[in-house]
Amino acid sequence: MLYAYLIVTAMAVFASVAAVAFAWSVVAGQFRDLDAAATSIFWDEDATAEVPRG
Amino acid sequence: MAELEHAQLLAKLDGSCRRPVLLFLISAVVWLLVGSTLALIASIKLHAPEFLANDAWLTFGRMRTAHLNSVAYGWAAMAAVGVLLWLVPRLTRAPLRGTRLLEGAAWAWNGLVAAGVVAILTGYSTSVEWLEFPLPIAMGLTVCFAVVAGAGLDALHRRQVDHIYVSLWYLTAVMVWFPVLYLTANIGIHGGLLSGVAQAMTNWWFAHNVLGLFVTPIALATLYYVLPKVIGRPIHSYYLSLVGFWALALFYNWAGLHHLVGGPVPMWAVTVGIVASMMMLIPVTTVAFNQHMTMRGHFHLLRSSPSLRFVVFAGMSYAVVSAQGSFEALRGMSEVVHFTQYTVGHAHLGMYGFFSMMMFGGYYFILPRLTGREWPSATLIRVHFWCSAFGIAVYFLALTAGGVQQGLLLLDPGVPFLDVVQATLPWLQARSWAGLALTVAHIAFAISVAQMVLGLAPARGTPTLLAQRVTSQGGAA
Repeated sequence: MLYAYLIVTAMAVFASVAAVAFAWSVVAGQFRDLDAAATSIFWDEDATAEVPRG
Repeated sequence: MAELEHAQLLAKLDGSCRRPVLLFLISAVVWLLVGSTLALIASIKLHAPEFLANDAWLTFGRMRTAHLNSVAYGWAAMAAVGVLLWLVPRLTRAPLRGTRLLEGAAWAWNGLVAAGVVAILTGYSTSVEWLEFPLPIAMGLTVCFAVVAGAGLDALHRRQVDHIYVSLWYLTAVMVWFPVLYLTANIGIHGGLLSGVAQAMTNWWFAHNVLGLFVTPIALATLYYVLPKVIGRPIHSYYLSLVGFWALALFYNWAGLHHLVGGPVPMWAVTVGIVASMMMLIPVTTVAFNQHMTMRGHFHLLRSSPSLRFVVFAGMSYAVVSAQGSFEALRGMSEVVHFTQYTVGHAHLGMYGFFSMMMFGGYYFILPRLTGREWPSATLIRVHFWCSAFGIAVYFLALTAGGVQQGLLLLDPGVPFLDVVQATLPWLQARSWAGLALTVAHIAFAISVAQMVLGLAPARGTPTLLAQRVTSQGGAA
C-alpha cells in the first residue's frame, strides 16, 4: 500500500510544479493583452506564406 | 526598414536551426519507413501466423516491439524534436545556439534507436512496454534530449518577446517534462528501484505520459502555430488556448493509472487515474472548440492547402481520440474493451490520426521555408493525404468494432476461446489492408521529402497547392 501512496505523491509533486508555473504565469502578466499575444506569431509573415494573409 | 530587419532576423533564425532541424526531420522519415515495414509484417502475422515464422528475430513478439520503438523513438520523437527546434526560434525570436551539438545529438539519436531496435530483434528487449530499449541506450537518448532541451530553454531564456505564445508554453513544458519522465521511469524500473505492482504503476504513468506530455504538447504547439498562420487569422479564443494548456499540465500526469483497472492496485489509486482521465475533457474541449471557431468561414481552404488539411484532420482526431480515451478509462467500459483490439485502434488514432497527421502538416509548412523549395508534386501530396486518411479510418473503425465484439465474446463463458480468435480474424485482415494504405502514403511522402532535401524540387515561388485557391467570397485568388 505504501508504494501506491509514494507513487501518487510523486504525481502530486509533478502537478504541483505545474501549479507553481501557472501561478507565475498569472503574476508575470501572461494572461494580459491577449489580443496582442494571439497576433504575435504573424511578425515573420512574408510573401512565402502558403496562403498569404488577407 | 522594419521589413528589412525582419527579413534579416528571419534569415538568422532559420540559419541557426536549419541543419539540426533537417537532420531530425529527414531521420524521422527514414524511421517512419522502417516502422511501417515492421508494422505491416507484425500485422500480417496476426492473421497468417506462418508468415516469416522460421527465424526468432522475425517472430511477432519482436516485430511488434521493434515497430513500436522505431515509430515512437525514431519517427515520432525525431519529427517532434525537429518541429520543436524550428518553432522555438520563431516564437522566441532568438537564434538557436549549439548547432553542432544538436547535429551530434541527431546522429547519436539515430545510432541509439538503431541499436535499440537491433537489441529488440536479437532478443535483448527489457520486456517493459514503451521502455524496451536496454538501459544504456535509454540513458544515451536522455542525454540527446537533454542537449535538445538545453538549446531550446537557452533560446527561451534569451527570448526577444515578453509574452510566451501558447505554442511556446507547450514546447517549454515538453523540454522539462520528457527528460524527467524518461529518466525517472528508466532508472526506477531498469535500475532495480521498483518491482512488481510498483513497477507496473510507474510503467503506465510513463507510457501514458509519453502520449499526453510529450507528443500531444508538440502536436498542439504545431496546431496553434500552423492553423492561424495558414488561414491568416489568430486563434478564436487565445484565453481558452491557455486554459487548455494549463488544464493539460495539471490533470494529465495523473491519468495513466487507468491502464491498471482490474489489476492488483488499490482501487483509490486507479480511481485517481479515472477521474483525471475524465478531467481531460476540459483541455480537449478547448482545443476542439478553438479549432472549429478559428476555421469557421475558412473551411474552403482545406481544398487547397496541404498543411491545413493535415493539421485540421489531426485536430479532429485529437478531439475524437481524447474523448474516447476518457470514457475508455471508466471501469464499465474497460471491463469490455481492455486487452482487446479496441485499445490498439485507440492508440493508433492517437499516435497516427492525431500526432503523425499533425507532424505531416508541420512538414508541409516548415520544409519549403527551410529548404527554399516548393513541394514537387501535388499528386504525391494527395496520395499521401488520402492513403493516410483512408488507412487510419479503416484501421480505427475495424479495430474498434472488432475490439468490442472480441471483448463481449471474451466475457461470455459459453463461447470457446478459439471462436473468439476466429471472430477477430476479418478485423485483423482489414487492419493489414489499412496498414498497406498507410505504407503507400509514407512512400509518397518520403519521395516528396527526398526531392525537397536533395534539391530536386522547384525553387521557391508560388506554393504547391492541392487546388486553385478560392476566396471566401467564391472568387479565385
